[in-house]
Amino acid sequence: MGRASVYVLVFAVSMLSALGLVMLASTSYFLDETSGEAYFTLRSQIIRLGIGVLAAGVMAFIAYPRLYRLRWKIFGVTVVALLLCYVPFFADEVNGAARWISLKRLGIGGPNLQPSELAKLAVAILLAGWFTRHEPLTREFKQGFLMPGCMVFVTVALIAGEVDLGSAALVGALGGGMMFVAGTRLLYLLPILGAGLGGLAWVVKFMPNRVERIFAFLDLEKYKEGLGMQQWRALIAFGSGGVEGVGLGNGRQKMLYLPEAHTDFIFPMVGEELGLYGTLFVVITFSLLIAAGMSIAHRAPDRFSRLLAFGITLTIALEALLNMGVTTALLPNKGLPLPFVSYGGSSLVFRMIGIGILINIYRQTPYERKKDLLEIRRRRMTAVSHGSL
Amino acid sequence: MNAPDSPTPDLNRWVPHRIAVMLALLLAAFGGVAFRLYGLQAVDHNVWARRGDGMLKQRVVLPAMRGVIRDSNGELLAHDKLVHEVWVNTQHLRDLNDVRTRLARIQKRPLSEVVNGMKPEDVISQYREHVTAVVTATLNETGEPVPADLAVQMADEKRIEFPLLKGLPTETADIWKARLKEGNVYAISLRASVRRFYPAEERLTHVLGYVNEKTVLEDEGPGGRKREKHIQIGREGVEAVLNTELTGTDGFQWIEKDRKGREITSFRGEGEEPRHGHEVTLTIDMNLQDTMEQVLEQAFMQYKPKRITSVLIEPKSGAVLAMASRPHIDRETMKGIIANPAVSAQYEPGSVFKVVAYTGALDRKVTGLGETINVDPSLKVFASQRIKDHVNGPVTVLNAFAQSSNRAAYLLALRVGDDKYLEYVRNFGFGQRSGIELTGEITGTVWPRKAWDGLTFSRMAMGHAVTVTPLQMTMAVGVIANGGNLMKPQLIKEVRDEKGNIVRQLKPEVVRQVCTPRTAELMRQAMVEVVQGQKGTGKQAGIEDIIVAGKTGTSQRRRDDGRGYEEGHYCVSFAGFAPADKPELCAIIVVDDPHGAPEELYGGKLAAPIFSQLMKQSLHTMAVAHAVQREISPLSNGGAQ
Repeated sequence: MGRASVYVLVFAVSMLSALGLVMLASTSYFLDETSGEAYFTLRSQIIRLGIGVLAAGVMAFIAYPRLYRLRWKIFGVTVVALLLCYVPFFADEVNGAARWISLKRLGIGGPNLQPSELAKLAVAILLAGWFTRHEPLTREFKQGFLMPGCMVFVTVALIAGEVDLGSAALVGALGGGMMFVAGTRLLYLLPILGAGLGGLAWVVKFMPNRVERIFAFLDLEKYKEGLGMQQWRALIAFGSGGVEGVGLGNGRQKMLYLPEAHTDFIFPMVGEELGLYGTLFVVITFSLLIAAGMSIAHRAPDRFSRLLAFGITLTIALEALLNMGVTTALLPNKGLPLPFVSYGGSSLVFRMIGIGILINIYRQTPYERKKDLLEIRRRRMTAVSHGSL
Repeated sequence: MNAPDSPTPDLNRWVPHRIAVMLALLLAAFGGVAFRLYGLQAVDHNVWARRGDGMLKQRVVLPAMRGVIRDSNGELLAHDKLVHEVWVNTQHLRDLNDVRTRLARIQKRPLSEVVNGMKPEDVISQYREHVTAVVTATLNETGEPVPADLAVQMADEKRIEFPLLKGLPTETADIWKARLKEGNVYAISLRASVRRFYPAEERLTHVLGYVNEKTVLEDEGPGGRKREKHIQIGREGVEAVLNTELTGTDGFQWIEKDRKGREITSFRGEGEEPRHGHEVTLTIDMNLQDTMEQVLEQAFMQYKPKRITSVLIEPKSGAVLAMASRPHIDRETMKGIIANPAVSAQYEPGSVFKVVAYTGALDRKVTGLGETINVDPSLKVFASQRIKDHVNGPVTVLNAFAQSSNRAAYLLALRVGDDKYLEYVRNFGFGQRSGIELTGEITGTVWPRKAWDGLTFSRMAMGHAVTVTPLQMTMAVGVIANGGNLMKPQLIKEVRDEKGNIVRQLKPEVVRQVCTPRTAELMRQAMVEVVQGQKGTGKQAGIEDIIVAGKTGTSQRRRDDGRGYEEGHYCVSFAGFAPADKPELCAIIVVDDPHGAPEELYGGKLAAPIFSQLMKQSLHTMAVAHAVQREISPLSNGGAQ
């Protein structure tokens, strides 16, 4: 994609955000009717989008090497924030999961924060920094696998502990993906993958009760009134939409039948109201977004920015894929938002910050002078790895 | 991508390659999602759309009303009425999103304050307290008792919903609706259903019967869900026999609701109007029925019998005008005798049954009313058994009948011959169902010839060794009143569908001719003599200014288990018609096991006065009394041939 990648990126993000607002206007009408304030959610989402765009703009003009220097501080803040979720005073528990920090309790006011969204960005920054700092040792066991692996593991464990398995799995996959791209030996990575799959097989075989929850999605019809209800109704929404959709605003599942129709399950509503055209539009737009992000990573001027751009793009890609996989019942039901489309502040703002970082990396990539590329890249790399930039 | 190890690998050369690999994998995954979506939305669209319809579309039952039952004058006896139930949905009481907004509205606070400033448990418990207060206030307003465990039931998380009240009239339901709306209570809903009501109250219970009302789970169509349905099944009486005609067909309407339960009118589907049940008009005249119920009630109180039963018919059409028994069903508790004794209780008729022997003899012309026969005590029946009789020596056939001579009845039956006599018994309708549209009718017992022993014939001639139902006996006496024709008893005057078209109508039906009109006329004179004659046993059945014809009957009561007889217990009866020359009404009074002085326990002493009272009041009611002149027909033309 080269030079055009940033335009594709901005275009895709704009289209998805716009679709998100349109779908929110359509689905939350029924939601807000219950809460008494029409378009309350829509208004707050527009405000959050504004904050997100602003944050992206700011990040686009903050040179990314600053993130390299701040990587441990950012990670430290993330760990503290994740730990706060375990303190009942700060935590805002919803449906048995303490994923939010209530700023209100701190006397500051404002919306609740979801530290796991910060963690996705922080892990990307930390790992990118780690593999830049220890570049020559990437293929060693300790520096190339054990240490970064422990960082990822701590984050995953903290997120999983608040019972947010979707985000935990995502951070785990993000860490694995970044280590793979950074150059960690497959000899170390593959056993982890194998052990994960083996452990899953063991759980399936010896703890059938535990897995019923997880594998309800394989036989939704049986669980359609219980564990599989949300996904079953999501499938109904997709299916009833057909190719052309029932039309914007005519969706029936959103009439409070499909729980979380405006957040994690917005995609089925796109499917019901806008049909296959709508869902394929979303899939293609995400593909473009991912391709543009990867293109920026591909061309990024140094190791840190490459890995960071890759990590940010991978986060968005994995979130989108997991969300689509869950809503189409290809994966077990774990709550993850559809980036830029779902209602939700933390997710939107942190993904927007990520987009801002991608833009900044793009801005610092010398596309014009291809012959000087190698020279510049080499110089920057040296500077970054010595922390002097 | 697993590059061979080298001491100083150029990691940065690898990164773009590995990014490319990841991109390819991710795009492949997006392709997989696209393929899945194509399958769901393009290939299986119809399957999922149908499942969606099944989930969202509701089949609302438009209940059909069960048909009304009226008497011949149009008086309402039974009808369906809309009643309401109050249901509490505890699941809605726990719906945090909904409860928050309602609490904010009730407490007049901004929603954000309730959402952010209150614990979810507090929101729910405060709202539940509010709902409980509204319910308690409304219960007090409508005068219903407040359940002691109301608060506990409301907080029960195991249940989805429970019924608070049932059977409310529409006015009370309207109060509930208003209060619930004022109180911003959504979790309580009113459901309408139909309930059977009987304006006839405690009258005509055996004829009307009752309905079983119950709630069944009914399949609801594509979604495979079950829905509660209120059904009424007729049990006993007309309700049971005409259940098919009375039962309507529920209508339905496919609708869609949002989750708050309001219909989305733009999605309204197909439907069908309910077809209400047919309207049934009985031949019963409630004026006559009232009279009968009063007379029976009074007699029941006076003699405290096991049972007292009466049937009143119009002889020429066979239409049943009144039918009652004591004790009867208590509609409140459903206790008492549920089966209708007029068709399901058998008794030995005693002397009333002599009508058969005399009719046979006169019809076969083996005697005449004027013939003098010798009812000598020496008449032996079988193995030196003699027949007890209170009439001795020579007596005319007419007087023998009027005085209810046992020996004379047997002598005449003998003249008819056993096979012929049995044929007359059967022709009168005994030993078979009359076919009246009532439940539980029995045949009674008429032994076939080959089952007779030596005493059967003589005992049968005087109305023993044979059992009949009160209705059979009434119809048999009706043969005499009706010129020899046995009519089929009718109960249904007409049936109309909901548009008012007549579906069926009373058609008098002659079952068979039992005897010639001439014989019937002779028998009529004989039965008049029972009431009007000097020595008649049924003098007390007489009515001033009106000629009554009839026959008394007294029999020792058969034990309930059918083995032998009960000493000192009797079943007394009187059957007859009036006015004798132009019979308008034919009736029977059967008093089973009355209590009283021994000399009172005779049909002529006990049943005849009740009959007289019934007939007099009935005729008065029929406003025929004024048209009837006292006129005793001369007996001369009924002399022996």
